[in-house]
Amino acid sequence: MKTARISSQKSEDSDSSQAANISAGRTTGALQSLGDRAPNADVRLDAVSVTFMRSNGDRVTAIENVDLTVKTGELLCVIGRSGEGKTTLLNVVAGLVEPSEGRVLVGEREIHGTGADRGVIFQGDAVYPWMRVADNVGFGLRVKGVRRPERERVVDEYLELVGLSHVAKSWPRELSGGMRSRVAVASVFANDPEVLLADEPFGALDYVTRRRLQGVMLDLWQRTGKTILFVTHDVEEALLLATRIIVVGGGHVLDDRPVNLARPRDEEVLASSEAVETRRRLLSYLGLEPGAGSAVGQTNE
Amino acid sequence: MSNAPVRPLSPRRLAGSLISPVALRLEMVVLLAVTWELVAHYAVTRIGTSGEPIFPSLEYLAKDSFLQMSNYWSGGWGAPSPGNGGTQTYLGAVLALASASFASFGRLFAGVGLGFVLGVVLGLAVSASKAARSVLSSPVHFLRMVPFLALAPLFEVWFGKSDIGAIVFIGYGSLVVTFVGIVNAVGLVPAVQLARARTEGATRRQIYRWVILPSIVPAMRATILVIIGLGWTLDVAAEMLGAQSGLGVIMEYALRFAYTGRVILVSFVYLVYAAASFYAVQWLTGWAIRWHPSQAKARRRRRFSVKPALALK
Ligand SMILES: Nc1ncnc2c1ncn2[C@@H]1O[C@H](COP(=O)(O)OP(=O)(O)O)[C@@H](O)[C@H]1O
Ligand SMILES: [Mg+2]
Repeated sequence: MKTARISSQKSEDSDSSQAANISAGRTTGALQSLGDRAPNADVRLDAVSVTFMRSNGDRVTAIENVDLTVKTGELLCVIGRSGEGKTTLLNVVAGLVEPSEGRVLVGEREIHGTGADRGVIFQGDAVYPWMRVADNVGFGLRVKGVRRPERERVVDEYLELVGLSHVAKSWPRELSGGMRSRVAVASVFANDPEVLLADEPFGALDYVTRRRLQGVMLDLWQRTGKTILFVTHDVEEALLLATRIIVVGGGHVLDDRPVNLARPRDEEVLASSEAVETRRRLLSYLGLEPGAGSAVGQTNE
Repeated sequence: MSNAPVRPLSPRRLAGSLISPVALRLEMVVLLAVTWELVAHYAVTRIGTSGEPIFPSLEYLAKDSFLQMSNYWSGGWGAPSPGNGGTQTYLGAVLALASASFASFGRLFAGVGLGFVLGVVLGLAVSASKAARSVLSSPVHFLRMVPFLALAPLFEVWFGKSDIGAIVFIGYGSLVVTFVGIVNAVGLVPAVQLARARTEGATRRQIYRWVILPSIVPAMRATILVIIGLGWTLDVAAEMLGAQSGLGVIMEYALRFAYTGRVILVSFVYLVYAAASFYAVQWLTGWAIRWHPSQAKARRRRRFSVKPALALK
């Protein structure tokens, strides 16, 4: 708990100096690769459509003819009402769903199926209950055949970053919902994917826990410079995190704009005229009157 | 009053101590024993064709029927064989029951073990491949519908009066139950857990080894507990039909000559074994599901009660 507060604070007051922090040698291993990573982890959707067949025989086009490019290092928030295709969009990039038409590229490669280069934080609880916390975080490394000492080093590092070192040997059943979400976050970052996909990862958490985890997420993103696609139905969450926000509706991208708010995004920044304007626009896309904003920020799906 | 160091035994507290779980269990046993004795001495006092009471009292069971168990001892270890003119001894009775039990336990564990291992292997194979599923699934589900006991005579015809027959019969029943349990459990592994493994780059093999297998462990354990119980039932049937040794053989003799006391004694021994093996397996395999959310409570409770929780049965 204590560590998490520290790291989330760090992300808010150190802002762009994180890069300096990293090169100062504070972190090692996976995190160090930021500098020498192949620069192109762009995600490109090229005229992608996904059509599902419902069990009653109806066809549903979840996303239709979507073109989208997410640049390396961007933190793209995807917002939209429930059932409008957000999860499908993410699953197509993850490789869990094959596009019915079009193609998906990561860097220069067209992707087919899942791969460890794209990590996912799932909407539901995907922490394995039969693995202790540390083994959950190290699962992806074990799959890759990383040896135990190296694995333990990386796992320890990420457990510390999300503030869970003290429960490394615990079973997931002994953790709160918020702690389990941290396990999921640490698991994905420990895997060092090129692209990180998060599907309303904190949607089921209480307000305070969610704020903390948003801090953890920002911190890790700033440390690692990953490309992140972050699905949320929470406008405030998007405003807090995103470098760019798209609105998905009816299977299309309805709106796509950068968010140029300064960081840390404190009360003042989030009350600036630009923030107010962005919030108003996003809420109207969701079919809500502006002013209901603070209430929306706290709804759970 | 609430500060009094020793509280008087109020009627309420007395009532409370009489309905505590342990007291209740003891009271039930005493009640059963008393009822049994009343029935044996006053209600059903008829003597059967074998010259034994058809509802023997507890003292008759403990003395006469138990001593007669030595008739099934063929001599040795310091106890004579009554069948060859020796006297009936309590040692002989113990030896007869012990050697019969040994034979029955052997068949039970061989059969249940064989059935479980094959059931798990077949179940996993069928879950893994569409081809195997279409070939194997419906015949096994059909066999599941056939009452096991109805097949016992068939196994006797096929295997004759042999140990192998009994083991195969028990194994068959265990296999079918295990197979159905495994296929079902694999089908219930949450999709998000499989999806996670795929996105972390796991191969099919790795998914089986690290996701599917551990997640079906609770179901496997439940299956073992079920087939241990089933195994004893099938063991009785198999031994009564055609075996040279075992508790079922004693049971079959006793039944044929209407030795009611001995039938009751052997039934009681079966009961004890079935319960004991159930709890032993439950206790021994508890560690395998220590991660399971249901165990958070069970573990804490265990400190206060010796009786293992039945939550996962
Ligand atoms: N596996 C599926 N089978 C059939 N329909 C699906 C499936 N997955 C999603 N859909 C449909 O696609 C649409 C978009 O779903 P989804 O991407 O989950 O929305 P969101 O995440 O925005 O709530 C919905 O109408 C949903 O019913
Ligand atoms: Mg969704």
